[in-house]
Amino acid sequence: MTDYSLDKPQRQSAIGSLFFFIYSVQKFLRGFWPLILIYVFKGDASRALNSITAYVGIGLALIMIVNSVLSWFNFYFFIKDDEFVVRKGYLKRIVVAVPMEKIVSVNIKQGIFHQILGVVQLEIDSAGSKTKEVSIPAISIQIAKELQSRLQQGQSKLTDEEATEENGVEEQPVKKGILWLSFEDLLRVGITQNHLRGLALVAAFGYNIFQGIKDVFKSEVDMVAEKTGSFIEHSNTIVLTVVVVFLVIVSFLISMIDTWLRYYDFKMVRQKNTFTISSGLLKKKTITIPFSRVQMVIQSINPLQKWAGISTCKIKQANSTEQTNNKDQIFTTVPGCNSSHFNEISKSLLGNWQENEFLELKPDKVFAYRIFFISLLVFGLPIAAISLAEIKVLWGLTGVIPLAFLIAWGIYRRRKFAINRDYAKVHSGFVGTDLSVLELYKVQTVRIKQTIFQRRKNTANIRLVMAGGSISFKYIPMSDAIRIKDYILYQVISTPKDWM
Amino acid sequence: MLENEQLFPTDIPKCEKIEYIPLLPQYKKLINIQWIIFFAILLIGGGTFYFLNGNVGIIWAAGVFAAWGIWLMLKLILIQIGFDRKGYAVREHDIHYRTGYFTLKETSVPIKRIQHIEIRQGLISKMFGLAKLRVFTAGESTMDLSIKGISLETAEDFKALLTQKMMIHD
Repeated sequence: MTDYSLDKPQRQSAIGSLFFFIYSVQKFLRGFWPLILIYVFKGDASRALNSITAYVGIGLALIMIVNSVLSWFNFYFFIKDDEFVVRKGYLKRIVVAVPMEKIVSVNIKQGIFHQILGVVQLEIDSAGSKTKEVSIPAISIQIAKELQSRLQQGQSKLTDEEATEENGVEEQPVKKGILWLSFEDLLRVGITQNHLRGLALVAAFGYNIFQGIKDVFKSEVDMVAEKTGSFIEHSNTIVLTVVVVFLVIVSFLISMIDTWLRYYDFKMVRQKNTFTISSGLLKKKTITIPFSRVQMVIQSINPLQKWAGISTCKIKQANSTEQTNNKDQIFTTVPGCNSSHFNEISKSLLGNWQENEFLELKPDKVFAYRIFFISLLVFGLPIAAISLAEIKVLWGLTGVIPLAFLIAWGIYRRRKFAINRDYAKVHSGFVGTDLSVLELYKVQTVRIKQTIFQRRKNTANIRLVMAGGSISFKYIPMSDAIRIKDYILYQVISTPKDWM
Repeated sequence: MLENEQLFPTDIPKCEKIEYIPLLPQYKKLINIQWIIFFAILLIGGGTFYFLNGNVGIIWAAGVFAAWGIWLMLKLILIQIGFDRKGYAVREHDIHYRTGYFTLKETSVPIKRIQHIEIRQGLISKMFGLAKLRVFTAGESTMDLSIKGISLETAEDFKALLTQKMMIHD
């Protein structure tokens, strides 16, 4: 192992100063982009360049450059007395020290600028409830790897012993590849994505851009909108079909691009009791998942995925801080798993959960009736309201009944709850299927709820609250809910294991 | 129905046997007063709006006020009949809170899973000598358990007791 003398305070690579500069420019643009847009389009740019604005601009740039160089110059990181220390700031000195054993994960990220300049960003997530996570904007990949292994060594020293006796799993090889997505796999993942989501993304994104443009070019936009409106009014079915086909193609393309951006070169590796996942085209991300932090594993399969024989596996971890911004860390998605991948992942995380049989429970039929009536209301009321103005719309109501029936039947048919000595699982879904599995001893809170609609048949909902989300058994007999609660409380109280 | 005694051994402690301790009667007064204050504020706001804005018809105004009145009555009735259902219980290893008349809710937290405990006393509840004990776990905060309507003394006793039990588990 090469020694980068991590024990002495050291700066980031000189390129680091460039990153402080890029960040401040980004911050500036994010804050002032409407102003800049107005200035560029509405103001007379050539005239304005000669005036004060130019000096202000140059001044701002100078301040940003000086600031970034000073920030870089005063940013040190090192390991001392089993603590990872970051010292930074020139006007205000900030020292952040994270004890090694508190470090939960060390993640390496590489954005587009990082890739061009050949450096990476390092993020350290710690378990302390109040400590903020530490981030080093730009260091060379060698140092990052070195730091990652040093920090994870310190952390695994403590967790190793308990982990092995906990699971009793046979000794695993040091590093083991779990999943790697090839070009073909990526294609499969892209094709089987939920394309409606892509469409929604386009709609939301398009609306945002539209609003942004509208502020600047009000009159022009109004004119275009008017023309489009009259175009739609006078168009016939052929034009409509063209529009629909166009939208389908666009949403498909969006899903593809999205897949490539997020999951390009997707690699999942097991190293002792952690998974390391890296992926991304423009922004390369590395995420580590310590097994002990995992609270729930979810497998979801939509109809397209079922056809292609793959599924998406989602891993939910306990959040370290009360408001964690790092969403990837809490909720990690593993795309393109076939059933053996899913089995291997879930077995590593939860132990051998498929070994013992489960007791299965179906929700009461009242559950289906409730969904039916709620869907009737949700779709029927707006139609009824619109029909007050346009009586023709009232025909839409005839379609609402079969639709509500389909929804209720789809949801009811798939919903199933199961429990055994150590695990609980819920099968759910409407078009696709979802399977959530959790370990009973990690439950934080149990809540039984009985609404007035459940009173007559004496059914109830029982919710198992975990550190990352919760699952709910709905419309099961009250007596079963009570027994399940008694059992889970007993299980949690008597287990010697810790939930994290 | 579940039929498998192996999984749910009969000798595990049963929550059915828990006797819930009712909340202090002052707490009923407190929630009554809180709702009346809330409706009074609504009434004053609505009335001011009605008199300042001359365009609202008398029938509409009367309708809205009648609806408010009925809502308040229902709310107050619900508080009276539902109050006896509210209660809490502390066992050796877990803590429970029960509430609701139309929608029954029973929340249970193993003491082992408690992260910290908070006692709160608002201005009005202080006048009634009441406090609220909130128990935080690592789960979603909306699902946390809080015992309202106990005396500050009881709350502090519980906090000491629970903290002691939590230390044993650690």
